[in-house]
Amino acid sequence: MKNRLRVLRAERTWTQAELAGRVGVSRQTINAIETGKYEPSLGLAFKLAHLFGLAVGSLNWRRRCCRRWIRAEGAFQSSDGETTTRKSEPTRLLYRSGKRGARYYEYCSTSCPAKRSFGTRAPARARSRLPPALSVG
Amino acid sequence: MNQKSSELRRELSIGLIGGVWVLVYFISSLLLDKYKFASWLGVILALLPLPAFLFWVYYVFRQIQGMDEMKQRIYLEAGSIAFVLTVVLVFALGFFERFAVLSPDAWSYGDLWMWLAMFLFIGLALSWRRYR
Repeated sequence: MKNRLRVLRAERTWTQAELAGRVGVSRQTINAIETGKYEPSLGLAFKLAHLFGLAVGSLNWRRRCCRRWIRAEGAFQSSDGETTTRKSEPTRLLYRSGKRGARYYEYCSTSCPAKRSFGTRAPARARSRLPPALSVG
Repeated sequence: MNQKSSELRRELSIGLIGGVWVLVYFISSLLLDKYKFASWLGVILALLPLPAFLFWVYYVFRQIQGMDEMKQRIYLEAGSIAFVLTVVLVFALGFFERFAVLSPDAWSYGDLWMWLAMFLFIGLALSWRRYR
């Protein structure tokens, strides 16, 4: 799934150059982001999200959308009290049993490419979030 | 349009200062080849291109710092490609010299910087193509 930058820009009838000027990058950078050839840095992603009044994760970044940015958003909110972004979603933890045994996955949506497996043992920091039936010693 | 012209100015200034460095290098080489100098003057002439080169490097870094993040990444990737290709070239020549020593007229390690510059341009072309 492509990011929503082109759609959001079109809704506001901005040209690529106008959007580039607002966030302080070149037009080529905006074009590369829209076509999915370049993933913006965290700083630029936040600038774009704030410009459109959205949460950084909701722009559908293709590769490293989820876990990292959602967490970073939480950190960003705490450091800047005036910023009004959507409250970040908690990371979900999934327990799956398969042919090779049970595995734990951490993800923020089912289509998230940053979904990460923890193997058969959930990490200590995530154990507290597990349902009691799935807790591991 | 304004952004384009400032980029053009930036690239021209990098090229111009680079050209001054190459000019100083060739003048210094020419003088050292043609005339005999006292040892202290010879050393000064041999090292003359160094300040020009250092200024050029400083200038290029300053210009890269002023670029946006995608262009910085393009230059970083180009530098990485150039470094790897130069290392491959040095290794290839080093391994080759285990079999036969190259004539200094045919090849000298002083020629390496020209290859490095060429590899940098190749890297820039590849990176630009990737993000265009």
